[in-house]
Amino acid sequence: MGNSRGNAEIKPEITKDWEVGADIQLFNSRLAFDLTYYNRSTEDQIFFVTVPASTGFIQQAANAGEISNKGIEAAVKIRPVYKPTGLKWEMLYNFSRNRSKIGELYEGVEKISVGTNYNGFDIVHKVGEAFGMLEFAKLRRDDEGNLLINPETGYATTETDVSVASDPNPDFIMSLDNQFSYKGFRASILFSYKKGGDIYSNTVSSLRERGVVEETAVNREAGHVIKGVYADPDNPDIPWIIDGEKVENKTVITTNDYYFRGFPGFENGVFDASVFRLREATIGYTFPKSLFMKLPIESLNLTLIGRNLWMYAPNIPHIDPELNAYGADNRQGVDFYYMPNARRYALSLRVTF
Amino acid sequence: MKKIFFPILLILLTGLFSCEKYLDINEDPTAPTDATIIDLLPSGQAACVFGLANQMNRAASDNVQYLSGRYDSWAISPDDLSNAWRFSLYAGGLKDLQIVIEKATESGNFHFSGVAKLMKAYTFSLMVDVWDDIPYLESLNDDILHPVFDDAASIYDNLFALIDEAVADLNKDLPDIPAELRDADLIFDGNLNKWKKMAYTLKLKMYNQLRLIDASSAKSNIESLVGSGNLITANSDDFLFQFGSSTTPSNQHPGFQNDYTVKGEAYINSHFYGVMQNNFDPRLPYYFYRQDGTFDGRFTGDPTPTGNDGDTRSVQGLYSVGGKYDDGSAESVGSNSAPGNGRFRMITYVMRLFIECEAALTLNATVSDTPENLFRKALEATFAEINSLDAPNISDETRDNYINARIQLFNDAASNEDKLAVVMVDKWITSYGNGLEAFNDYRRTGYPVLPSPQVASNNVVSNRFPYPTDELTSNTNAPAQPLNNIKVFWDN
Repeated sequence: MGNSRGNAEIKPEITKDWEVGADIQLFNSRLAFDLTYYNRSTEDQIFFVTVPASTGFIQQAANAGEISNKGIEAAVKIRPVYKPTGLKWEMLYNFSRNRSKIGELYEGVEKISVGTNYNGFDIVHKVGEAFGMLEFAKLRRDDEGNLLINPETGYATTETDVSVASDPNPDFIMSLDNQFSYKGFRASILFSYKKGGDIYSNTVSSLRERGVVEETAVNREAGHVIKGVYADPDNPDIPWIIDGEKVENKTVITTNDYYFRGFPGFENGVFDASVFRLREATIGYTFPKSLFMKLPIESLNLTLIGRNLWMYAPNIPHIDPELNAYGADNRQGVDFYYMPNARRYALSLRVTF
Repeated sequence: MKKIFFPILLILLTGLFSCEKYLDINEDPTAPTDATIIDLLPSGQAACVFGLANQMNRAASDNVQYLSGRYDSWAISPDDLSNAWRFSLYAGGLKDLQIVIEKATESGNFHFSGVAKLMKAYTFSLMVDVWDDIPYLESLNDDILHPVFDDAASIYDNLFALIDEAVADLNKDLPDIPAELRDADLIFDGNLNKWKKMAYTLKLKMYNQLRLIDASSAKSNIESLVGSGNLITANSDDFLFQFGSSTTPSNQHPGFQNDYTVKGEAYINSHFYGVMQNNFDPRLPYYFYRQDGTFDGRFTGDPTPTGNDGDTRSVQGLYSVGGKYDDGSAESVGSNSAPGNGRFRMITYVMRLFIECEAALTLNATVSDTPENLFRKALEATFAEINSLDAPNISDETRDNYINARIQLFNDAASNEDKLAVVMVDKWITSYGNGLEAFNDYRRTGYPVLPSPQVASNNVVSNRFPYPTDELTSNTNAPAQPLNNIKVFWDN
């Protein structure tokens, strides 16, 4: 039988949305701006929430308080060179940023889990936070941000309770598209940049645990010391103070332990997912009609297309962070051994008769 | 022949009747909102058995040292049994059975409701045995979002009443058993006499379970049940679930899938193997298969790292999971090595005889025979079942050598307590494959005496299973998580 419990009190969700925008064109359309600011608030958004299985059901639909999204979208179009019969160069720049916030959930509920990750941590919507945060026990640190190291083992330790530990929502996304044309030739090049947003990478964690990546070869036989200060042997939450000073961790652990046990929990697998990308470049030529006057061909175009040609993710090694383990879902920020985006080349021949 | 369950076929069949309207996107054909009692009885039976026979059985089997797997040395954490509690039991089989009970009662199909009530009673009794207080009276009710956790002792009382109701349902004078029940009932093919025997023997088991907290009630109830002549009287009456040998869709024993198809889930516990070996137990080749020709298992709490030995370690055999009989061939096993049609033995003739024996020794109850004869009959019955399996037979001489040695030990034991210790070791060996009953016996009698884990991954002895976190966080009536060493209501 189905696992969803009926809810007779469900209400339709209502979205209130206001936007201000400006559309400006200058210098004979050589420069154009399109700016939008939006503030969207959804009330009674419908979610599936976990119910006690002892009811005979697993979940039910529920209206969840209020969720807001605010953001700006900007587009700029510049035509540095635009000769009606000669060289044309058009630049299109797009920028968008969005801030989501859970205003309230239903009565008495501070957070709802929208899914448990394969590793066992939850992805949650939590009051006062953005959408879909990853929640797990963080590494213990002192008030200056130093890791607190267990003086017996030389390992870092995790806090007792889970907390919001990783935010997958990007700060902003932008792209720049350049299009050139000259007589029959056309070329374009599209760059994109996504700033911020965290990702928990199973791939990187596993590669390191198994010692198959470059960084694990450093001092492989000599061992490592985790940078941090010793925790008080009687209280793992505070630094060990000897003669009024914190004590720097000096416990050497093996390379194996450093990558396998040194950083328990998930925090060490979280990276900033910022990424530059050369998303697409094309070059093409439309043959002049004079070449085939006698043939019943209307037009002939040959274009070479390259997609996903280059990427640079400064803050995460080994993987392409632009992946989502859950596909089209409202959970994000987890890489679970996914195939990277493929680089593709295509040659397109277009003939119209 | 026992029938086989095809969960995927069921889903496909229900799928055939949906999507009558074009683009009917508001109805999910894989999550039917209505189904008939003919569909729901088998899915309820199979889901309850799967819930008990898979994760819960493995956790209990680690506790009683049949196996040494991921729950070894009491390492059962709250979420380990979440799937069993949620998807197989409450929102799975128990929900289906509850609908069968309601619909069948309404439509006057009392034989269906009787069978469903007995399956429900059995399942809840084992859940109470491991979780103690759980939602019962307010559970499985569409109108209640936060079911109260009932006192475990009161649930037992309710289950006795439910079993009586079920027997009354089965005794209702209805026309011949409809063919639908014969087809839908995966366990007894609609044989109501076997269900009634199961009902009375389930009560026998439950009264024996209560003997530590109310000996006089246990004694009188056991005596009257034995005297009634309504109990299971032969192996052929056994309340057991016969898994199938099909892989698409799979209906094999979950333990077979772990040991043969996936491989490497658990080790055979070396203590268990050692006890059988010391007794020269002729059942060893029916119980385990040695992939490299020598026994390769682990003791509880062995701190040494496990190796990549899925192809060499010993695995569960024919008797429990429908695996390979150990003829000394010493091959690395795979999904094709054996049919995987194991049995989950729930309430059996052998179990009945052992319970009578225990009641005679501990309560001085008047039962069907002397403790010695009951012990002997139990062993004979278990060997008879072994010889009914598809493998070479154990000769009468080999069997008698074993039984006589055990009976000798029994007779040499000075006190009833010492005799019980001998009997319970053998009950433990015959219960192999159903760790939940062995875990009950171990907690109730203290036998067999098991070695402490070499290193305990959890310092608290497992006297119960932890509640799944999902239930505790979503049910406002849930209690705080008790420590794993707190005993259930019938244990002391």
